[in-house]
Amino acid sequence: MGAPTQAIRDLSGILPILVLWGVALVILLGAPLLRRGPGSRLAAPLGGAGALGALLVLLRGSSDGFGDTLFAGAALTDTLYSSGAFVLLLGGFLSVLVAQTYLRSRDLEKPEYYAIMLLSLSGALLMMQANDLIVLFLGLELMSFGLYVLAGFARTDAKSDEAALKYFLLGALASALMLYGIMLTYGVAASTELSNVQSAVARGALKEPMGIAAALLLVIGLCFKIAAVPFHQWSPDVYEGAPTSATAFLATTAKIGAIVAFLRVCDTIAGGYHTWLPAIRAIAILSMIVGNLIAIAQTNVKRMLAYSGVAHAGYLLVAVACMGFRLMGTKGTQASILAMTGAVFYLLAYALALIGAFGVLAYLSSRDKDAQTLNDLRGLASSQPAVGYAMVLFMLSLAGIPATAGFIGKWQVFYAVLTGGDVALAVTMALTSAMGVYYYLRVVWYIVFEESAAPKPSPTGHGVEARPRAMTGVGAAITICCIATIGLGILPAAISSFLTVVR
Amino acid sequence: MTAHLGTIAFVSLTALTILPAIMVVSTRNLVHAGFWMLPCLIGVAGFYALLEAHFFVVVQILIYIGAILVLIMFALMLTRDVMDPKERQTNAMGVWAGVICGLGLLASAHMLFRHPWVGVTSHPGDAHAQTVALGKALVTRYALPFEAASVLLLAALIAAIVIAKSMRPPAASVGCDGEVSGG
Amino acid sequence: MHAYLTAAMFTLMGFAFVASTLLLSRLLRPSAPNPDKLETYECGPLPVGDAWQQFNMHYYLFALLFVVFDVEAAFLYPWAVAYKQVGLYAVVEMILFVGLLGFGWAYAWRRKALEWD
Repeated sequence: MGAPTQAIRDLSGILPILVLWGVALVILLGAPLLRRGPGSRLAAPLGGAGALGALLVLLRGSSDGFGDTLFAGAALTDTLYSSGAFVLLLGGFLSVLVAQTYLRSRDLEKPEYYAIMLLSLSGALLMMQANDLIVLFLGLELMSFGLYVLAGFARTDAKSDEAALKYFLLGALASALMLYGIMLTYGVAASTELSNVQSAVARGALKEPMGIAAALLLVIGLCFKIAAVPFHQWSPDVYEGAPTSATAFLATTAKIGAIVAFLRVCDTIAGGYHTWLPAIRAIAILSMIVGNLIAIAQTNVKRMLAYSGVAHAGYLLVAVACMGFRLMGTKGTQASILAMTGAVFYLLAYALALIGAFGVLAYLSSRDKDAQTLNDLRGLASSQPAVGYAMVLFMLSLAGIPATAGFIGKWQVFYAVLTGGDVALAVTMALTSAMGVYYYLRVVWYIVFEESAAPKPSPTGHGVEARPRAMTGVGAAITICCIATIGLGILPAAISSFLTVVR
Repeated sequence: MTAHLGTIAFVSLTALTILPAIMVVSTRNLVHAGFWMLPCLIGVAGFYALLEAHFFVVVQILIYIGAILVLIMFALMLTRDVMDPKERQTNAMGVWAGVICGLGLLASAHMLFRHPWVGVTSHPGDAHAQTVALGKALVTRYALPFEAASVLLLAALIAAIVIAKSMRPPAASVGCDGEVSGG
Repeated sequence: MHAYLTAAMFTLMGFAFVASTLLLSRLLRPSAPNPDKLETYECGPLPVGDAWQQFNMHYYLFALLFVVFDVEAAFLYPWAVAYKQVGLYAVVEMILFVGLLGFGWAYAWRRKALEWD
């Protein structure tokens, strides 16, 4: 068949990305109209439509050519990509809903926010679809650029500036290390295409010093993005300083994109597991312990969620470590498959709970008050029961309490690593999860059992605003997150089978 | 004779790259540090020439020296004169950073020397042939990364404008106070 | 390689020429040191303050726009050499590439990032 047919097949394979690019361009083109006046109400719906459109295109995409490589081997479509993309775009859509309310109440809304969000999502998609390390890197950069800007979107807020600067400087360093790793990979494999890298690994490339260095640099670069210990230092300041809606977005997007890419890279180099598996296991164990320990000391909910994010990066790295078991007999292969689907489910549960939790903070924020601390949540269950109990649910899901989505995700990863026979990782995971319950339950305590600090809300307090704002984006986002978190906790089979057979 | 010449070129290029690089990080004057990058980047272009990657020599000079260095200089001029001569240039962790970097350097050297270099199997051809091959690869094999790079540049452009334009305009100093008109 | 040798010799000759001219003028000119001669030349008026001031943010935006389009130009060159061998596909791709960046330029223009306000 001719070149046009091939071109159409290539393009339809990356259709979600094209949709995101297209809508982002439309928003930028219409920015002067969307900035003020009646048009400003349209910016967020357009952004939401972009994410939702990409999601629909992804789900309705034709199944022929599924599993093939696209663009002469630069990208591919497979189950890992499509299930990861589903989670990513859903998270992106929910983040738009959160942003719509939060930015408006904080007087930060600009149409560019949504355009940059969509470009960032497209970068994460590109990263998940990459079959070539060059494409992976470009996707990573496209994703990160957007996240740096969103972190610093509140330009007049010094903390937001600081967050953007820290995120950018450390992110740039991570990107440089990763690029160095890609270069060395080219040095040993004479190609950056993953299939060629895989065969180079099979030939023993990871026994050479250069191959070892390449693998470790790639691991370090990705660990920066998911904020695993000891590459997590940026995350608390960035989570705290960034506008809450941007925190919700960057926390989920970076983690989903980087973990899916991580799974793919480690699956590719599974043949040389003896080089990188010890490193990943060490980073995973450290992240689980350090993240959970430091989170206990936090009184700022955003910082606490940052450290809890470090711990969750550790749990997810357990799944990544399982990729290394793939070539260790049938049990190992089974473990790697279980871990792959488990990790994607975990990401879904994590994204729902995290966006929900940040959504609650966004909901409680107003023009002159940015809800961040435990004190801001004091007595929420009695002053605003719906929001309060939603937050309780998200905390329980993050803690991994049964009957929530978080439990199912954690269980799947735990089961996978046990199948792989790595008891040390499994035990650490179980113990540190138990440790984590403490600080999640402390939030619950503040919400349910503590008396509200200000007994009667002031005339401009949230008691008055609550009713109309429940109807806006963030209310919808919290509702969706609640329903999905419970639904997935009770009926995990539905989404599990859905995720494995998205097509 | 040619090999000899190559060694001389390599050693002088190394000096041209590394010595200015040390100056970049050690000089106290930020603008001087920026200018020290110039010989450093020229040295890198020289390495590309030595490797007969002709197109990249041009790109290195055109983009890194012609554009990125200019960008860095502009960025430096946005700062105030931050380098107080009495300020210490290192802190307590400086020694450890040095040790770690030194170990990293040793590890890299070890890695590079131990690598079984297979050598170049085919000559890349003259400048024209190389450029044609590169151009073809850009629009065929690397079509997706090529377009993604375009979106990346677009994102960077928009991001910079969003960040820069959302600054509150400075109260008084509108225009170019920095320029005292000459000529 | 020989092309670079020529370039290297040319560079050396350039340096040598400048150095010899300066040396020659130093030998020939009368020497009359004066502290006023060391002042920055400003068309007569005395310079005020330090030359290093905080510059306007706009300089940076212009420089960044320049980098972006410089990179684009660098990509255009190998494409221009090769596009005849690839055909329509290459042309469409370059139109997309340039179009996207042209879009960025249009955005900058409409956003008044190119104006000195």
